[in-house]
Amino acid sequence: MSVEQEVVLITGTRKGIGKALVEHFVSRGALVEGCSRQQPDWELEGYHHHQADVLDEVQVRAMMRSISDRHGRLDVLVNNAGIASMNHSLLMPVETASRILETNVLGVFLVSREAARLMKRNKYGRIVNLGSVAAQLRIEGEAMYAASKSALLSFSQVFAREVAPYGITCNVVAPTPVETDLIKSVPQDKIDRLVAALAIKRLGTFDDVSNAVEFFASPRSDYITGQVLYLGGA
Amino acid sequence: MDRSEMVEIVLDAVRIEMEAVAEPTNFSGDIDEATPLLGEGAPIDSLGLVSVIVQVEESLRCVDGIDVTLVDEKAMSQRNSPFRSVGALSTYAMECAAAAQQAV
Repeated sequence: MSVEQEVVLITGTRKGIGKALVEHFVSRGALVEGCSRQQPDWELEGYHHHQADVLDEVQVRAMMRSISDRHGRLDVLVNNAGIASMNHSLLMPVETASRILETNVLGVFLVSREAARLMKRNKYGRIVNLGSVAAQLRIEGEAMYAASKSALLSFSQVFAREVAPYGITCNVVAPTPVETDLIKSVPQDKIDRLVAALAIKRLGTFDDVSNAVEFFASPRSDYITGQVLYLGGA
Repeated sequence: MDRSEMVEIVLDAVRIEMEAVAEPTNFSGDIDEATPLLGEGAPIDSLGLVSVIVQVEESLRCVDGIDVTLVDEKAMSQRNSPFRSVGALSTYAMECAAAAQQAV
């Protein structure tokens, strides 16, 4: 990679882990682009927001075109956008199940596909997908969410092989629950059981996640691809 | 854009890919409309074809402002692959470009 300012795209930046990742990459001097379906209620110097849905091909392509026109390249993609819905499978509406799979799998595929095309030009790229320990811990009530994150792992590992010839790596960071809106509807006893199943018995922090993302996003991690890093010792 | 310009875009994409390949292929000689892009006799492998298709799409977008997707259900369901040769890809890309311009 050249010594130019790194260009980073993060999806799902309006709040939570996405917003924290924006702050992390901006603080270390990157040019950060991000997207969410709605406008965020915050601004940050060094950050450019796109109002785009990761499932909308036209919007995703327009976002990549904008990044290409303004920066001419993309170095890092963090696929953070995702949704969860805690519900027993027997009570899960099919519309909700479909929405989880579409956002967490198809959305990642679509953004990764378009990003890799842009990264390919410079024969350099780092893609980091946000998985979840839910795929590993098999918590009841998270069947579709865990299934979507398992699909994300398989996708990431195959995609990693497909884009390796272009100098692009693709890895997964699988966080434990972090205090975000995503888990605010999860009953406390479920959270307690999940934490109890970890080697390190506490909720994750934004810093835990950005540290792991940073590792895979580093230019030095050019010999690491198709890997999954579970936080908390899951 | 006329057909000869499209053929040049495809040929350029193939040349870029051939130059990018570290291992020299068995292919020798000039490339032209009849040059196969798939199977025996092709100057590129299947991964190279992926790069050629992406490069043609990029060229159409960057040079001519035409946003096309060459690999779709229509392309995959054709009896004769539109990616079988430089000429076939040029013809198919012309059709896609015309459809994209009409849709604008």
